Amino acid sequence: MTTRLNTSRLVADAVRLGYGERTVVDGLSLHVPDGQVTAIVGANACGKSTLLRGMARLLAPASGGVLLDGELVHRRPTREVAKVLGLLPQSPVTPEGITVADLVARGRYPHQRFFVRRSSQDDEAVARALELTGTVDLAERCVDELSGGQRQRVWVAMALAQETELLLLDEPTSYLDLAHQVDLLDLLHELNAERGTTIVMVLHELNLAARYADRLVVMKDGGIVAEGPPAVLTEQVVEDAFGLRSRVVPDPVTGTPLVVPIGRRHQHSHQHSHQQAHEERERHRMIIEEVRVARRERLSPSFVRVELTGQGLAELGVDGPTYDQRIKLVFPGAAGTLPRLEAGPPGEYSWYSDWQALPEAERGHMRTYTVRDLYGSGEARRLVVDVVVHPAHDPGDVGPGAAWAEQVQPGDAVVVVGPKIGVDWGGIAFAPGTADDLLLVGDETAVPAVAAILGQLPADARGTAYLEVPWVEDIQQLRAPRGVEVVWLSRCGEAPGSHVVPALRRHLGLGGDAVVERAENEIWDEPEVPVAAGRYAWIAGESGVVRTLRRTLVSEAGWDKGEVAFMGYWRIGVAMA
Amino acid sequence: MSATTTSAEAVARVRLVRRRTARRGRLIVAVLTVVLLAAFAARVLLGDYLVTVPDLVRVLSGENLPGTSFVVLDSKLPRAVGAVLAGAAFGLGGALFQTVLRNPLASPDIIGIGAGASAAAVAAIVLFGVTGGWLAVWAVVGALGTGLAILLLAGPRSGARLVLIGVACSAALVSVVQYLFTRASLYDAQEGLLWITGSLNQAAWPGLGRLAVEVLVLVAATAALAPRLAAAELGADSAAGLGVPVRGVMPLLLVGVLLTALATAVTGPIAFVGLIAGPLSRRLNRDRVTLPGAALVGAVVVEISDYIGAYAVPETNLPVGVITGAVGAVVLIWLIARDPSRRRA
Ligand SMILES: Cc1cc2nc3c(=O)[nH]c(=O)nc-3n(C[C@H](O)[C@H](O)[C@H](O)COP(=O)(O)OP(=O)(O)OC[C@H]3O[C@@H](n4cnc5c(N)ncnc54)[C@H](O)[C@@H]3O)c2cc1C
Repeated sequence: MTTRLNTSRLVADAVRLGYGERTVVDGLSLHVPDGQVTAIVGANACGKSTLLRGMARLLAPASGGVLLDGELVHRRPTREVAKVLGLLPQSPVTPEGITVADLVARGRYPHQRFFVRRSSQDDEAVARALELTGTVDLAERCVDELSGGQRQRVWVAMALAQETELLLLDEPTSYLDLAHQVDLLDLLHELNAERGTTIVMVLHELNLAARYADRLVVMKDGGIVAEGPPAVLTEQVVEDAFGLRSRVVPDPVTGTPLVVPIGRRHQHSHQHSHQQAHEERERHRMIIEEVRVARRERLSPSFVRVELTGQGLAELGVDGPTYDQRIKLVFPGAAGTLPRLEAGPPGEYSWYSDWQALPEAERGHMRTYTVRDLYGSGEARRLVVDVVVHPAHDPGDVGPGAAWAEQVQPGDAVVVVGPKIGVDWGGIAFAPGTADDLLLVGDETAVPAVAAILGQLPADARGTAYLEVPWVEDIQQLRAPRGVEVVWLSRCGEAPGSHVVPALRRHLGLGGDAVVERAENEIWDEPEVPVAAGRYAWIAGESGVVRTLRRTLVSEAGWDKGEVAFMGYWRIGVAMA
Repeated sequence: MSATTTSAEAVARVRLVRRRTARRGRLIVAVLTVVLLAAFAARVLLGDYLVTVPDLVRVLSGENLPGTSFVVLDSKLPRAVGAVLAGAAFGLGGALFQTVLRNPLASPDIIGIGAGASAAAVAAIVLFGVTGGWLAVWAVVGALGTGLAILLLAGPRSGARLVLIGVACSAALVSVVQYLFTRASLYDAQEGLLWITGSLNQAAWPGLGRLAVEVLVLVAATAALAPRLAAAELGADSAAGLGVPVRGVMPLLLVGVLLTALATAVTGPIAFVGLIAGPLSRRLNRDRVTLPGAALVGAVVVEISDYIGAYAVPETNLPVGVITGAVGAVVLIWLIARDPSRRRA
């Protein structure tokens, strides 16, 4: 799992919060992890908003305390706190007749000095906030005239103009329709990824919370029922917190928990029809199968090709091209055995939380790979995966995936988690729509995906692919449409991105150089299919490099965000599942 | 959404919009100042006793013109100056309340601060035979006391609550006034009635000088506190998030109470000026709050009303409060009728 040092600047320490005589939150403690997105969920009146108000110093605790950087937040000068901690309350009041730019500028209040009302710094912060929220074009409009979704963006912009490192939001998506909810959460996610802003939000929508949060806090009756990565959202937790029976299945798009309520009306039939339960299980299921290694081939210094076979693969696949279809492999862990993921009481299909609940030693290691090829049928079906074997940075930090590929033998067992034919499980990010000019950029971990995509594109596809690999020997012969130029770059021991970033800049006709950033977070964005025919870029690889590339494309070369899919496949110095 | 706007463009755009807002604010102040000067000049020069500009200049430079000197220095000028000061104080005080409490009805004259001053002043006249300067002190104490009591009872969080409590207080104080009248001598009753209607008849130099200093100090305080007002306008929670907690806006309300109380002490409660100045100035500024605008509108309204009161009905000098009362009632009805359709969540 991710080994990240979790520090917390904002801590609730045994707080008791309430209004007058009534105590709403009692003795609750919470560490808000820095640089992450935390979502607080729970039934109505469970105290989630009260907790947020307490952390935002709007409500003084009756006992216990809220600490910001180790100091009691209620004791610190409130304007100093406002430079670090921003808040978007549930129903802010829009002053009549105010323009968007003027409203957003109000967020600058904590930074303004006596009588120096409008500095150029303020204007710049306001412009940045408008750009981040995509509301520059609304700057001179009257806020009263905007649609609900636009208005909410503007309010987020006003909170952003405050330029705080922590941002608390109280139900930012209420009153928005589904499309705008997703839109807003994407925005917050981006903010977290790009600025490293720590976000805490109270959310109503459980499934969206599970999808967008790094950390979930599930509350009931003023206390915490469960806390942790989204996988903590199990059927039991949903029942405890909401008094609702449900099924928790993997979200077909993201793999995070998806809560499907049962409700009274359907309870009866659900409990009693075995047949139905079985069918539902079949419908939701993906392939989770133990298979065997049929062949292992060393392709080059950095690539090992592994072919897997087994009965369970008969149904693996998708209708149509697999492109960059991702799957998960689970390798044996310290105990040398593989987890049995299907085992468990009937009716419990949440394989991911099952897996997470296993003891460390039995769990093995789970890593994500790309379907390089899938061929044969029935029992002869083969799944081909190209695994990158990368140098261990230090002996204690050898990647389990790389280590496995180094020593795996034909006949060894491994668990495959992947899509089942006929089930729309998602897991393909490549979605050029009707775009006719493609740009594919990646490092060695993206080579299998780019290779598969190029091999499956229609013959008349046009575009360019840039692939950066560690060594000259890693360059492969790829099958690609005639109109697609494939450019290989070998970095010969230099840092990831050192060759592909300048190459892309040249491709875009940009002068100068860009410093490759270090990524603080995982990044991932699959835009919706572009509507108009045009260009489409697909970028994958090391997260910092991907970020740099995306910035080059979007900020410098002026590509629309909707035209660029970017996926952090790994991150320097961080182990990833 | 065009994602290609560069930072520099966005900054320029923000600057443009914000400059435009500021420029409109300045334009309104300039126009209202011109209007006020015109009204002021009319009040001093025109009327039953015409004064020519050269005469005025001579009087002001210290020459003694029989008749003219007296009319200008002891009647016309003090009234005109008093109208500006009191009008500005009422207008600004009202706008402060309305903006902080985010409720157009929450102006000091509706919530009983004027009534508090009246009750105290009438009590002083009827029960203790107080006159002159001491009457003003009574009025200030009454207004301040009522204002603070209402703020304490309602808390500054909710404008609606404050309006309800204020209206109730106001009604109670009015009945106190009425009770006092039943016990008053005819002479005292007339004196008291004149006072509670609000008029500039008593405007005289030493009192006006004091009021001018007080108003200046309070205007400066308002300017210093105005950024908080910008935060408070976004609702209590947003304001607290920006570092302006509820107790941080209390000083603004206090300034509002003081402005109203001090002006009332000199002129009596001139009806409805505090209520209508804010909304009228907003109408001029595309619905945006403008404190200088509110102060100027207040001054213009009182100045013009006093002129009308003095000369509209021949042979009668109606107190300015009668005119503002009549005009204000119409504006109030208009405000209430217009309010629901304009408000959006
Ligand atoms: C959708 C998706 C598809 C992917 N497809 C493939 C694929 O087809 N083939 C493939 O090999 N990988 C693929 N990856 C990446 C793969 O999941 C990661 O490389 C994986 O984390 C490596 O696992 P590991 O156990 O070897 O190293 P980890 O345990 O993740 O990392 C251990 C250490 O090694 C470092 N490290 C990891 N990768 C590299 C590298 N390439 N060069 C230098 N240092 C490195 C890490 O920074 C860390 O310090 C994909 C990832 C995603 C998200």
